[in-house]
Amino acid sequence: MYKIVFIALFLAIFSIDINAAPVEVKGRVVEKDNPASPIVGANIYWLGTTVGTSSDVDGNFSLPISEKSQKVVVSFVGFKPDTISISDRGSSLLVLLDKNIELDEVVVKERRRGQYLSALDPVQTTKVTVTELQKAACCNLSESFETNASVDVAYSDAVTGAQQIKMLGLSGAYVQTISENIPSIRGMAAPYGLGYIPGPWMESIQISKGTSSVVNGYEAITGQINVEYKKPFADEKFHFNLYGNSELRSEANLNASYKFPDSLSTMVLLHGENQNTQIDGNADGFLDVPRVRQVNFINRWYKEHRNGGDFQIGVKLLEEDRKSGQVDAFDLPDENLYGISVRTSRYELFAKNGYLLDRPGTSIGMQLSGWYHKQDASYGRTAYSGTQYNGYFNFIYQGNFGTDLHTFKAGASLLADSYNEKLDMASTSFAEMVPGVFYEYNFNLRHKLNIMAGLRADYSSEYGIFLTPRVHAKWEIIHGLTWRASAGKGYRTPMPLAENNFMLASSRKMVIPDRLKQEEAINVGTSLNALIPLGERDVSLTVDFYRTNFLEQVVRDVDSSTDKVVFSDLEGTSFSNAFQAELMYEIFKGFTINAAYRTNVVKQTIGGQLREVPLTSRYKGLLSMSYATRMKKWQFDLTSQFNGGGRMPDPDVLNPLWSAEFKPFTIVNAQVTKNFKRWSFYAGAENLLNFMMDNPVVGAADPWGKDFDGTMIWGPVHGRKIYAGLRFTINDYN
Amino acid sequence: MRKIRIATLLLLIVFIFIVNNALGSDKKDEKTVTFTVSMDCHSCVKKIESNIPYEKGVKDLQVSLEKKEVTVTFRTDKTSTDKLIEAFKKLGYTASIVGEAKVDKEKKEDGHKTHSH
Repeated sequence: MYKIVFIALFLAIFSIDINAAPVEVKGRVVEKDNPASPIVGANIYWLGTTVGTSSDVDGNFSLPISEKSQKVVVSFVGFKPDTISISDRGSSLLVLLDKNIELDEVVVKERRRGQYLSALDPVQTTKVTVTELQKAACCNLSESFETNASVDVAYSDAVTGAQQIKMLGLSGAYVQTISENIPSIRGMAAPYGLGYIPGPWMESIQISKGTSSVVNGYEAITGQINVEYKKPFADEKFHFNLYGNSELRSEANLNASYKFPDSLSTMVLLHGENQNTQIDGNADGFLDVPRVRQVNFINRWYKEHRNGGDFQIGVKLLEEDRKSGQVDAFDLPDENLYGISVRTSRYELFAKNGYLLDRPGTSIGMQLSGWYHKQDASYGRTAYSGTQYNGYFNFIYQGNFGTDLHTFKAGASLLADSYNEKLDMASTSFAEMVPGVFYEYNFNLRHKLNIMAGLRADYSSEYGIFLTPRVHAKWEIIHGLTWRASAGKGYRTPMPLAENNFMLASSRKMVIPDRLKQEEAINVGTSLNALIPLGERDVSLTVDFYRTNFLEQVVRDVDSSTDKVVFSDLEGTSFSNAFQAELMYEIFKGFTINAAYRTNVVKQTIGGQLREVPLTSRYKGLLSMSYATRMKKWQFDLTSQFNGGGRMPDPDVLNPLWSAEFKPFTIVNAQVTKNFKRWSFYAGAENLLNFMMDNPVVGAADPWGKDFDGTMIWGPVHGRKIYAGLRFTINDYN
Repeated sequence: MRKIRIATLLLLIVFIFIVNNALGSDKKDEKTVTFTVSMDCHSCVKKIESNIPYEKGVKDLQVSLEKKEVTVTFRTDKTSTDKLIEAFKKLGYTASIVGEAKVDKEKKEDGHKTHSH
């Protein structure tokens, strides 16, 4: 039944547009601030061609229709250039050029800043660009947050290599991770998903705190991370990257894009990684890092419509083989060696279509995606296998009430998931279909005051109707001082086994009830950003506070007993209070520092008692320095993370194998990059101080015994890693 | 404590290196010249910033789209203003030293026929 619905929606995406063909484009170019004043000698040309003209003494121009391009660029010195999609009506074009006032969001300043707080977005969003992503080795998404104070990345356990992020002190499960606004890392992809997005594929990452817009769904509780992949119509034509490190892991990436005539372009992104050497630095008999082989591929096609808007379709394929556990577990036919094997296949298809409508400022957009995820794993003698089918459809209509002051988005969505899991002999299946509608109103007073209020109503086939109200406000009190506030609800369907199967890397028995409630939370937050002029540049200072309160939650209890992990519905209170202060400043030309401090109180009712959530650092300090020489030929980056201590899960009363608390620890990363016109070489070290947890695999001597537990992780599970790599890029302009 | 000492030492070394690099940049055989260049779009700026720095002898570059000027600092023993004008020409731009206005600012369509965006 789901399949028919999705096929119908898929066909709906492919709509045909029909338009007439006028002979030429006529128009007039004037100043936006003073429309009576024409701009003489403005440049008007077809994007992607050398065909153009200039405006006459009255600002008038006429340009013959081009076969090759549907966009016209109008520019003049001192004004912001404008790119206009030519509609099929053939009526006269009035072009209003805006004086070139620099906005943080858009303009490239002397040096393109790697990471910046969005000035326009009412939701507190930090955008991480390619410049920042290339400061760290950044093999994949997990390494992209090393210089970001709001997102923590940690290994979930000492054996499998599964990683998760944390925001506001809470598990990454409460962060909605999307790729270009389509839900991606969730469900079965949760444990290893950060490794499914290679560094060279990413163009930028938007990290927003608190609940985000209702347009993307109801799953963002603590934040939202949106990954934008590189686009086929952008500047990069060809990119090649090779990487290797001291743990003998190697990676290769190949990106190629091609632009056809008629605004059609395509891109292929190919990634391969191999880590096949057994490394046991701390001699505990267990491999420090998993042996991984992965091939990952995307092909996407992009076409611009004649009258504005665009269509794209893409396919993503992933195959991964992961082996871990004791040394030689898979090389020797010894059945007593504990081995972990995880094989993953993931196939995704996505399509998007957008149209600009006749009325200015109105458009419709449709997104459709579906994926199939299959995982076959064995943890010692325990077998876990699962498949997940996911489908997602989103329709958005953007409109306004006559002006830019009041705009709105309205639409409908459909989210469907189907799981089939097997743990040893027990099979379970779960399916959920959630159709929903949403409406979001936006009040925008020339970017000084911006209020976004949205409401979603969804109907889950499992949990019934639920409403998601969210509101965001942004107020530029005076120039350079911006205050934001947000409040909203978020929901999640918990899938404990699919999301936590890495916990099978222990002797703990997983106790999961047949039915769990939908997770539900309220998040409220506020932030203040100040740009303080100091010398030639501004100091950016941001202070924020977020409170998350869970009304329903699935509690993962590792305290009651060291033999079990008990999943149950929350009975009592659960909350997180997170305060953060962050400073960014370019001290002198080319040298930027970023300092941040975050403190969080995260408590949950576990076993009838309100307690701190275990394995969560109470604070985090970050000091990051970056220096780029003139013309960015050399780049030096140094980052120190000061992680606070926290509570460990309760050790066994009779035989405690770890202490009740873990102490603060520091991690330092450094990298040097040398840039040439097309080549780039980099080398660096992760965990320069070689700090490692003393006993990452508890009970390593007897993995079949009751003490074995690889999930009591609070810090780094392997020591210093030295790496080096090279990049080769051909852009449109080099 | 020991780890903090190592970290501070590292930061200090890096800082000294940086300051040294930043200060030791006024060399006697370097010359700074400002060119008027026929550019008028942001992608032109990107093109210039991605290619001219890698010409032999170029030490620093400042581009001003509004003033249509590019200021280049270069080593006189490695390159010359003529060679730089040639480098601009290869990218599709006409460049002339400020004062010798070879580019006619009114005829912009000529500028566009030599380079694409």
